[in-house]
Amino acid sequence: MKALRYFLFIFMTAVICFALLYPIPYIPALGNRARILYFHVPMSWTAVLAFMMSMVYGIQYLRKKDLLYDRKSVSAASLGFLFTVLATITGAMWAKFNWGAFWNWDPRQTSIFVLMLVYGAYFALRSAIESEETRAKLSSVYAILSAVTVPFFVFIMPRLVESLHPDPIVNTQGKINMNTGMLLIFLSSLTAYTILFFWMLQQKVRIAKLNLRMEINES
Amino acid sequence: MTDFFASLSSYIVLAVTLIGWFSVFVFMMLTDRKISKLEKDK
Repeated sequence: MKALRYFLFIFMTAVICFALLYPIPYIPALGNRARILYFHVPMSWTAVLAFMMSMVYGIQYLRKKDLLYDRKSVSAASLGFLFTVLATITGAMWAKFNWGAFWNWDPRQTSIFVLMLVYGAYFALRSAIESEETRAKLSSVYAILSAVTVPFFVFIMPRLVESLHPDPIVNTQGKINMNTGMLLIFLSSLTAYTILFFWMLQQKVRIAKLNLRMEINES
Repeated sequence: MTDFFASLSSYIVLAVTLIGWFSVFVFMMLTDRKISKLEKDK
């Protein structure tokens, strides 16, 4: 496990260097700003993965009634929220340089905003319920329902509505318009972000286990 | 001159991004160590 961490350190460092220095072909209206896809898209991907994991743990809680699954579910959801915020911030910075303003209520920005509201409500729900079991049960159901909306907001809506946002990686014709070098860096970045996410999730779960053990000892 | 500033700015962005990543990594490693210590104490 420790070796994987050091691998991630070297791998992510290499990805960052290649992402920012490797020459990219001229892309009309984007130029060097296209490099954001090496960071912004993996952040969004990680957020989707985290929300899906939150749903899976929610289902497991409802099946097994083990509070650890509830803690795993909220850990995944909070990481998903973090990566959504990071994707929104990087997207807004890109929008400032490409569209002239940080926020334009473009369909992409609107859908990510709604997604943040959906998960903001999840955390509000959790903090509003005192009973541990009721909180776990209700938030598991909510995690499942909100994860169902994620593919709609992230993958479906941007392909249905006219937007200024550049084409998704897999465009509406079902093709990837990227040269081999860019694609390799992009896939490496996806891998690095995914490993980072699982490491963060593992840490949060270990902390949750310690908290659970402490609560059991206290009661 | 423009090229010089263009490449200088890309190196500045690279340096800032790397510093950010190194900070995240160090923070994660320190957190790992702290959790391991707590797990041993329990």
